Amino acid sequence: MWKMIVRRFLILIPQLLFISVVVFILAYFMPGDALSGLVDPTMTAEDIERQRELIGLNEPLPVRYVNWISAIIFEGDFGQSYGHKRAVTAVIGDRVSNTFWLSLVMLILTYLIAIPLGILAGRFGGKWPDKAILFYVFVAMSMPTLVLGILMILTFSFNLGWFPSSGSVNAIVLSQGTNWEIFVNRVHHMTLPAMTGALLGTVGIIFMLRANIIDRTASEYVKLARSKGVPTRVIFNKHILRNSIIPVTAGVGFAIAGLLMGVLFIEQIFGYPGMGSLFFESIGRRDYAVVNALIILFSVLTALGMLISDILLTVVDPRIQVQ
Amino acid sequence: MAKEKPGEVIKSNKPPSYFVSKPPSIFKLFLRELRHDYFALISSIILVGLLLAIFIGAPIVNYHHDVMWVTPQPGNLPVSPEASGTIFGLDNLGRDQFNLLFVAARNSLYLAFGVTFFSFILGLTVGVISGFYGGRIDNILMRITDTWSMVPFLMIVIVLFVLFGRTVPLFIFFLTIFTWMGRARLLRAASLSQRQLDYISASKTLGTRNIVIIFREMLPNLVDVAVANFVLSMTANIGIETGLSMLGYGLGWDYPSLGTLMGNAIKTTFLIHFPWTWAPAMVLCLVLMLCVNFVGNALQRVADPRQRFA
Repeated sequence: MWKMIVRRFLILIPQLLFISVVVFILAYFMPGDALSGLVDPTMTAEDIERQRELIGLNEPLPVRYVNWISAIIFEGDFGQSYGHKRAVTAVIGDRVSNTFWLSLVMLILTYLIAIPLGILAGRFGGKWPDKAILFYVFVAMSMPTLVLGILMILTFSFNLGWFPSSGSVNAIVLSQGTNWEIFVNRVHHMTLPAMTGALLGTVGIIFMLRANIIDRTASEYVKLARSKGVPTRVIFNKHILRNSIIPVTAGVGFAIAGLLMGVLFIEQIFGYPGMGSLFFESIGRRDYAVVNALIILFSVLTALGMLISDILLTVVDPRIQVQ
Repeated sequence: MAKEKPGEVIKSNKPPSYFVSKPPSIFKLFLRELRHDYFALISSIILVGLLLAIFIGAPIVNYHHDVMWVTPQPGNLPVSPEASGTIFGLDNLGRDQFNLLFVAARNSLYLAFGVTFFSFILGLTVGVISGFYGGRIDNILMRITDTWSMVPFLMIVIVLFVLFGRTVPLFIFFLTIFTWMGRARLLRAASLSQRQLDYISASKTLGTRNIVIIFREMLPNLVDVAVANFVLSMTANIGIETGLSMLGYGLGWDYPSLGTLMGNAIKTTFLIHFPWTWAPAMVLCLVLMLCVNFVGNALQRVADPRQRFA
């Protein structure tokens, strides 16, 4: 097993390098360069040229790529933001915790909704609870993220007034409230975006859990248990459920990878100050240094999510082999 | 029946009819499936109706009025259905929302179909090559597929639109090169399982060329999986298109799509005070997606006999 985990890690390195090449090529087509964030009106053309020479912008492309990637890997240096006049890492650093907490809450809610529904649908396969849950799944499948976000804002924020429609925390509460009040306020702001993501994220998990349970109900070992006279409840809880849930929970990494794309849209529609809305702000201002860093960050997170799932899946089910 | 001379090569490759029991076609199986699934039945009826209405309606509407004709409204505000005497009112550029809806729906379907079609071709090629040849080729192609699917494609597509402009061919091209991976993976799995069956080994033993085996023998057996996946990825692509357009990163105002119309809801005043500018498009989009999903699911059951109701 350890051999497989190490091998899986080794695959990750060329994959991430490949993505970095893609981003570098993309950056090549973008107007502006590493200096754009440093230039100020007092600099003359010669100054700028000297700076260009100094930081190696006049080198051939492969050399520039190596310089760029080694700065990222060894110093964590993504360059200077043109719009904020600050280091890109600092700009992104301000937003990371917001996105982290939102994604975490979203993930937990997704599983909290999906697992009971999946179990119900599988337990009563073909009967009305199953049909009702499948209908919900289909509606969620057909719902673009932004549409659900808008409907949520319209109902719960504008019409009912239960939740705020944008932001992550109230400025007055932040400056004057106690820690507890700030926490409550943050949760209050986070509810709508997290619910939006969670309701849509359940689709795959419910489908998989339901299919697993239905498959196992018809399997030989369950038939054997039944013919031995084991009570139905025990068969379901011990023999079917445990085996069906484990691969689903091991898929948590894939869920993270899927979630990240949703977070991008959800943060934008709810005006939630995280990395997703930072991306849209930066692309609007043509602040490409930040955009590139965010693309790399999102790919690394996606890759890590897939890695976690691959490893978990082989741990819980040794029959799966990663080449 | 023409008499066969001894030694003459029989040109027709059709076996005499009494040898073969033909399996029912995917269409027949689908109809059989519909009898047991009312959701799919109702949605396919609605879907056919909607598609006919959209594709017949859009040219008619376009012929009678210039849908894109812009007459700015006072205060740059949309006009309500009651005030303008039209069904869904006018938007802030004075365009009839009802007419616009037909054109927008048609454009959305065109875009989604284009992306689905090309990404399907790409995915099919990669998947079938990977699954049929296996071994090292499979390994390399699948590593590429895995790596490519780690790229956060929505972000990159948005950047590409900003850098290279937004035209219909570019829109389809960029989305195509970032959405073929799922199809490749699915079709690889399907062709891998076909590859191990005896009929392929038999053909190989007879010395049939690989390319002939792939096209004549393997592909027909992948049709049902492919059709189901094609239909289901239509909804995914409609979703991506509307998402991008709603945030203003889709095609411009001169190529209205359902996403552009729904994008009106992003502006708070429009969301609260002018629901007729976005609600019809939203309802149409949801109904369309729901119907396509139900039909796609029925097709998926057709493709996988273990799941069939009928």
